Amino acid sequence: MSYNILVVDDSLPMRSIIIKTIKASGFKTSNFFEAGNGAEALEVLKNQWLDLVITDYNMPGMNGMELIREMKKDSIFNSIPVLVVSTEGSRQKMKEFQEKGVADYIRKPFVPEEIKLKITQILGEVEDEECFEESDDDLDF
Amino acid sequence: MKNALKKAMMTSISEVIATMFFMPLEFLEEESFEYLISSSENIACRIGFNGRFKGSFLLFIPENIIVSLTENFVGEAKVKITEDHLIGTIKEILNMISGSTFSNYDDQAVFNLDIPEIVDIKNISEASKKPDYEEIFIPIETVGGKLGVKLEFDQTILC
Repeated sequence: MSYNILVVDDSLPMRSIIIKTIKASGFKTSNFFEAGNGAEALEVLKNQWLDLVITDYNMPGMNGMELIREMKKDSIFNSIPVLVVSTEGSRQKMKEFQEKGVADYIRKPFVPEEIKLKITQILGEVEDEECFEESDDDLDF
Repeated sequence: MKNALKKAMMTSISEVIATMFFMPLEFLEEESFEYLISSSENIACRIGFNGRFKGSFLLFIPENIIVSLTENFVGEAKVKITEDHLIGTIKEILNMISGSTFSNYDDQAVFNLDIPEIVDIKNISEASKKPDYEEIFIPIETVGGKLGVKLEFDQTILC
């Protein structure tokens, strides 16, 4: 099975590293979509079928929490799992994310294995583990 | 309080530079950051915050180090790296150091971080310390040179 994944972060390098990590993890992804904040993400959601949204919290314009609130209001978007990747580490913020129904949370800074582990838990096992070892997109760090 | 914050900053700097960028680092003993703000090769970035107390973090970093860090971070050769990548990396480093410092310092407290911004290094002066503000400066040496992180915070509204 292949997946469509939306990565929402105002940092271009952070979007790049998340996408590279997922590609290197062997997930058969059809398409990656990118957005610089929550408002841009909602535009993508209106036009694409998505299997997973990965979002930062602190972004200019519409932040990650506001995006999640908007998604939960929509009868279609509210079924899409959301993985939050953020520097926010307070227990109160974590609780708030949990209450909003996010699938999981990764605190920055992270190691690539954390991304792979969390996405596997959300989307299921990687189908072809060899892909992880042989991928041309393997991380160079 | 100040020592606990300094320790949290050092832990978070190690986590970010070593864990995400795989760059070795050494903390230095220098107390002045004049050499970091007097070089035109260096870039400065600031992020404000508020919560149990308010203030801001500043990152001073030479351009050659940020290029190396960006290459490590996004896994691209120098030729493919754009200005947006470089600026994005500087902001993300400071964002992660700030967020991680507060998590390491007290994960029960809520601190709200602003959006990081690049600031003109010429407008920064060691002598411009605000009254009632406490400062912590952490100088670091890594491959390619020296960088530094400064925390300035208002200690009058500490809870």
